[in-house]
Amino acid sequence: MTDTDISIDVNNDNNNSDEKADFSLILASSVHDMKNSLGMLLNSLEDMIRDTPEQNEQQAKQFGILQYEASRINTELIQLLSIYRMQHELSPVRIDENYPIEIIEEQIARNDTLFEMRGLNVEVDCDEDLSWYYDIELLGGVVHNILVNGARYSKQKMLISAAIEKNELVISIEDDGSGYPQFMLGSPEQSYVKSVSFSEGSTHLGLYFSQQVVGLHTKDGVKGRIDLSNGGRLGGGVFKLYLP
Amino acid sequence: MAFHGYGKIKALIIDDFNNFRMTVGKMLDEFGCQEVVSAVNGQVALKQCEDKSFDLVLCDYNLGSGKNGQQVLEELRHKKLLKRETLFLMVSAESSMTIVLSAYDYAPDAYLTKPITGKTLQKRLDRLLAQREEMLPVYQYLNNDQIEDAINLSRQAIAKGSRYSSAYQKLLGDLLIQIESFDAAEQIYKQVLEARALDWAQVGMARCKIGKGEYDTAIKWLNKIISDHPYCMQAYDVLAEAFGKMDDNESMQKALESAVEISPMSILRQTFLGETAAKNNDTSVAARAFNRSVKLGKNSCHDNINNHMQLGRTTIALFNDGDEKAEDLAKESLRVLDSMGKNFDIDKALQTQTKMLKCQLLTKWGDTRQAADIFAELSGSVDLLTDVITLDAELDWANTLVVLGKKADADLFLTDLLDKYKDDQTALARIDQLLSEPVSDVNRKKVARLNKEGIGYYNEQDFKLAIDCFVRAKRLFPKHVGVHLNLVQALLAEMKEFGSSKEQMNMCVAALAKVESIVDGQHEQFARFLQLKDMVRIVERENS
Repeated sequence: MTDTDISIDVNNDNNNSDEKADFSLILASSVHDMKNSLGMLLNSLEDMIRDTPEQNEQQAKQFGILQYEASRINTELIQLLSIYRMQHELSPVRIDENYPIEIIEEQIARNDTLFEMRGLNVEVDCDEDLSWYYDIELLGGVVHNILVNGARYSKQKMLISAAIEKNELVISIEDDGSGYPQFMLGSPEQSYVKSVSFSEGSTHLGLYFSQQVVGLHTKDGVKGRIDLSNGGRLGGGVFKLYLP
Repeated sequence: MAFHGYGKIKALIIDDFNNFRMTVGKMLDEFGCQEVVSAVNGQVALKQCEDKSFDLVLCDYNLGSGKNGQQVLEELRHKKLLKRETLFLMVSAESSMTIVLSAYDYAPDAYLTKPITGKTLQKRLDRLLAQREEMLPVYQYLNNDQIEDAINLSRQAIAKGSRYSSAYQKLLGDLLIQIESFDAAEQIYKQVLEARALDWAQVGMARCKIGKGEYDTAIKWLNKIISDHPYCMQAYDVLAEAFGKMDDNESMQKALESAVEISPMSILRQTFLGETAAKNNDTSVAARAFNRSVKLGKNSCHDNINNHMQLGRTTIALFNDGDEKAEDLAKESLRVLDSMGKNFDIDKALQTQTKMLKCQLLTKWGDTRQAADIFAELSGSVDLLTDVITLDAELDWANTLVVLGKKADADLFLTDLLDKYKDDQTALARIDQLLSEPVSDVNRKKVARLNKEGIGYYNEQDFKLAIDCFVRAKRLFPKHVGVHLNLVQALLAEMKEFGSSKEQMNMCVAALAKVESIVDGQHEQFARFLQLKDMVRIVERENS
């Protein structure tokens, strides 16, 4: 059995093969394929880097870029698939009690190379014993996303913090960059996909993904939400997510 | 939360890629693990686990051609080659695979997504191993079957506000249910649910209700859990259990069917569905489930020869029902029966049984010549006397006689069987399937109840509900003459009241044809049969 045996079409609800296949399904299947290929590519890349140690700084930098861009594509493909699954109810939310510090530390560790390459200092402000209810895999994906995005725009520092406010878990990721553009601020009712701009080269896919994931966390009819602002403790962009 | 006990940890890495084994092996060495062993596939890993016990296993899901990671985990747990406290981490290329994987019967302790970096791995292991170390005394009690001690220790840990209270609560609930302290278990789940409506605690509550015999409450709750969390697989299994306790096999089948639709990869659940559907005579569901069980059985420690035989039997039943899928499955079933010897030790008795199934399949498939050869070989040998001694084999032989049209021989053989098992109600209930009227107490009651219910509706002129009852009875007892005739009568009344439909007409004709194949002039219901046949003919003529 291979990875693809249990791919997204296992529970495909579109059983009517006579009808024209839904484009989103075609897209999702091919994304799945691309992601598998990219996985192989990433693995070989890592092997290659290990087997042929860089000769000079220039080369080290190039390796870094290769790795960063490849893993960025990987992250984006995974997000596309996750969004597809969420929209087709193929993605279960497994909510349990967890410690936010674990997600934060793990995602920082995961992006360690990136931070090092960019010369960024990431600070954490989170009580070790703070616990809350959420899907650990999905929320980990959100934090990863915002960290990778923030790393692109920060100058020297990022700050990630978690606390309970008014009976909700608030995770904030702040940077010292130039902040989010005006039109993105606040906690929009409609989705970020509406603000897709191909000409600017930004799809806000990560934000859309975050919004979807956070929205899957509900309690007594209250949904989780995200909020974007500028300023904060580091003077740059502030991403906040609230989980009831 | 750094962990300082790596010096005591023995680790095993399972992956078919040399690079991965080397990279991760180096990482574990750097963390200070006492010993790091690696295995290239499941077979090697199983052997290593037989020889020594590990504290940590990192296993890739995709291991190439042999067993996959899930099958390795299943076999390790099944053969008890893992200690209770051993951490099993499944590595996969994609985080969302957890969806599918976690729906199995055995879940790993955690999932890791490739690519793995040293820092990420260390963070994750620090956390998991720290938890393991704290809970180790409880696991050791459990390894020694000291359940009471494990319970007390877990309670103390929760009272002290342990960081792992949530894990202790889960374990404690399970243990209390295991020793049937349902009230105490309920207390634990209530505490959890007061803070948050977590699905595992809700399922726990439902399990307590089942333990206390409050099935209706349990079923109501489980249905609610499933509608809120459609991926909570345990809820379906517990729901099936509740229906099982109530002897409601049809609802049990429905629950399992929903589970299998969401998570088709669990061999045990597929097998269970197959057996349940077979009992309900829902042959198309049963055949499909057994077909899947056989496929999933490849490389699995839960592969069972019975699934292969059942695929053959249910395919034959599919032909009897006139199902169009039978043709396709027949080929597959014959292939499966022919290749069983590769994976199982087949003794002579089983060989004889396999021949019977092949003989039936070939007859239905249209290869009557080969079927006749096998039949001649079977009936001419002494094997029948020596091999056909289990009820399974006897029923296979009876079915063979029926399928080959040897009605007199079949009747004679069945009479012998009824005599042999006259004091065994469970056996009689199975023989009932071949009889025109059930002889076992349980089935007689069942058919009487359905008939009575149907007749009640008929008398109240609620023909639709009457038809439903008789259809259900017919499915359970496909050779019951009275049920078929009652069905025809109810259909006629319904058509008289509301006009006839093609579908209802077809049901009448099929039921009458079935009766005709069973009764002869001597049968007590023969006159009624002729009368109903005439009435159907009149309706048919009126409509043409």
